[in-house]
Amino acid sequence: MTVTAAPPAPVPVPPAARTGRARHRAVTFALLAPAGLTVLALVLVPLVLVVRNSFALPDAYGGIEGGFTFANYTELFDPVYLKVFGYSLGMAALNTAVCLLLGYLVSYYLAGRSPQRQGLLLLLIIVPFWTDFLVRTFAWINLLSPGGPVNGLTDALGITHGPAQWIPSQGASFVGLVYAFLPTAIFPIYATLRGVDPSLGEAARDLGCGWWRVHTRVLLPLVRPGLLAAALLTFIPTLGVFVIPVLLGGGKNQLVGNLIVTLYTEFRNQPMGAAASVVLLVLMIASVAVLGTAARRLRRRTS
Amino acid sequence: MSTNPTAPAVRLDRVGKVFGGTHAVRDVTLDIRQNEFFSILGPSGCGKTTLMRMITGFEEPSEGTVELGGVPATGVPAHKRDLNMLFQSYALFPHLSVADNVAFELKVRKLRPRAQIGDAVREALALVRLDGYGDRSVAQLSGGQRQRVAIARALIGRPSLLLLDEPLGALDKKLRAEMQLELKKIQREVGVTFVTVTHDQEEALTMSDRIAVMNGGRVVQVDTPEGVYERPASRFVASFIGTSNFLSGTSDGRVVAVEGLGALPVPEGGAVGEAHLSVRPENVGVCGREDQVPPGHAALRGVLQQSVYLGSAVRHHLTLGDGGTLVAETSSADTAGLTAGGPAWAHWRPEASRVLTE
Ligand SMILES: Nc1ncnc2c1ncn2[C@@H]1O[C@H](COP(=O)(O)OP(=O)(O)OP(=O)(O)O)[C@@H](O)[C@H]1O
Ligand SMILES: [Mg+2]
Repeated sequence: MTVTAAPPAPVPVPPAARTGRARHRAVTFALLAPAGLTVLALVLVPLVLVVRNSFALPDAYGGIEGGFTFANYTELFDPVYLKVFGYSLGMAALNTAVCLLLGYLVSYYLAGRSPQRQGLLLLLIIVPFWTDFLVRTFAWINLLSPGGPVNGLTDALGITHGPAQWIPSQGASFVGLVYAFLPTAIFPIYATLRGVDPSLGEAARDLGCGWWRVHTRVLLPLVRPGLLAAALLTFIPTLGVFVIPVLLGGGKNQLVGNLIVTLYTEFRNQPMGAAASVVLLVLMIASVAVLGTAARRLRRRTS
Repeated sequence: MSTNPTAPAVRLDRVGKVFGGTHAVRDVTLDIRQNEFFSILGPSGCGKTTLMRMITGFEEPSEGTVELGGVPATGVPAHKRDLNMLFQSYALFPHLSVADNVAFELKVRKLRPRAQIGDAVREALALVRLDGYGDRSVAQLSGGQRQRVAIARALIGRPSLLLLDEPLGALDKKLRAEMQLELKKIQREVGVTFVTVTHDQEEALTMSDRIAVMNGGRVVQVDTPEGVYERPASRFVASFIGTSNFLSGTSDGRVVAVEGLGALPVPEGGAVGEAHLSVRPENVGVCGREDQVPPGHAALRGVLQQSVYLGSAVRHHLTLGDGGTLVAETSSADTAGLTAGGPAWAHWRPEASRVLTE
């Protein structure tokens, strides 16, 4: 029996493996396709259309005539519209500030409770989240209605005398905003605060800090990343809100969201609605950029 | 809070703390003197931390009163008490540099004009041998260095009292031994009353001027390290600090009669009645024949089970006539004439034993 030694051949990628890798890539594409197409169809295409339409001319019947103009944007500089943008930014800022403050206080209270109590209280905060947003806003109409539960309470306390007309009003609208965004603000703040060693607060007290300075000098600086995240999650969505001002504010003091709806439906001016949408989008991206940079800088400094 | 320099640094009068129906601390009466290194020693869960937190003001006592420097501390919040605490986790502020951590109290309490803070911080860091570390971030320090920063931070405002909760618990063994001496040195240098909490008896013995031994929420003995070791007040103390042999019997003040073993002489003037004779292994000698027992010693006959060589000593385990065991530790030279399984006599000077009634 003879043994013939085969010459040592170079090891090429066997064709089977090559097709295998190609198949692998094909499978990846196939699996990503549904999600990718959905995003394309529901996000990118409408976005491109909105941007395109914002530079178009309106026709007389509420449609798009085509063409190209900056007029839709320059017209937004009309004081009437500027006021809406200013008011929206102001409302969003105020809502963010109140949500951060309340969110911080609630988180601080939560973090100081026993683990079982914390779980229960968190559940109470989360449960309303599972109820439809519209339903919860309608609930506030009931709560704040003349002779309603809140009115009853203020009557009992002697703050009001008889039925009070709170809806619609800016105040009611603001209460609705805070109510809607408070849980969103609580979660990131609470999560950050839970990671802070409780003995840090005690150390601050030990070293001479009263209640106020324990917060300003130690705890607040330590939960800044959580506060930034909460600000991001509150400020930006508030800019786009439109149901709450309609239901609780009577639609008199409009937010950008309401303006866009009005432009599209009542004014039947799609290009201007599109322009307002684009401006809103730019405002949102700008706030993400600002808050995101702040967060990154913070992370670099503390790491 | 202004304090009286001649009054005890801390006076606890029948202090108790109840958490949801259970007593974490009960009926503690205790004086801690100015400038002493005082330790609270006891097993886990005996209420040491709770006792300390009532001194700092993080907890209000449910019963009794706390006085600091002769002034009642009831209702005085933690941040207004002239004392600082060294936390077990160090509790350094992660958002501040080492220097800002150390300067924290000076800034908050406005103890020094701004211009002098830098010097005070350098001085405090020098005290803990961390010169030049001021600009570091806390995250860049080792465990031992963090603890030093925490000490500098706690001492910079010159409190009249420093409380340390398990100060060395998080350090490795070698560093711990080093820091024990260092803490003692710092305490002498700054002349501040130190109160430490520990469950490590060796640590308490090494560092303290006096030790309070706690068990089940009560202080069971307060004494010098020699005192708690040589003259334990109870079986608990004798076994918690070091190890002891116990022989139960009846004492008439001069001898303890142990059933099945005979009468053993004890120091004059001891308790009378049901009692435990306690003797430490290192005070017990062992010999092979009765005639080798030194005159005047208390002696017990037994069977040598085994002798374990420990390097600096040999540990002998004896079985006594009543079936109990006795442990003796002798220097290595004394093992001649002893065989495992053979008869052996354990003996000790009566003065080396103690009669304990509880
Ligand atoms: N905030 C609290 N609520 C309820 N029970 C508590 C609280 N703090 C302490 N206890 C209980 O009081 C007892 C004493 O606790 P403490 O922390 O003082 O013990 P310790 O001697 O410091 O123990 P260790 O050596 O483990 O730190 C324990 O049984 C503990 O469970
Ligand atoms: Mg403890």
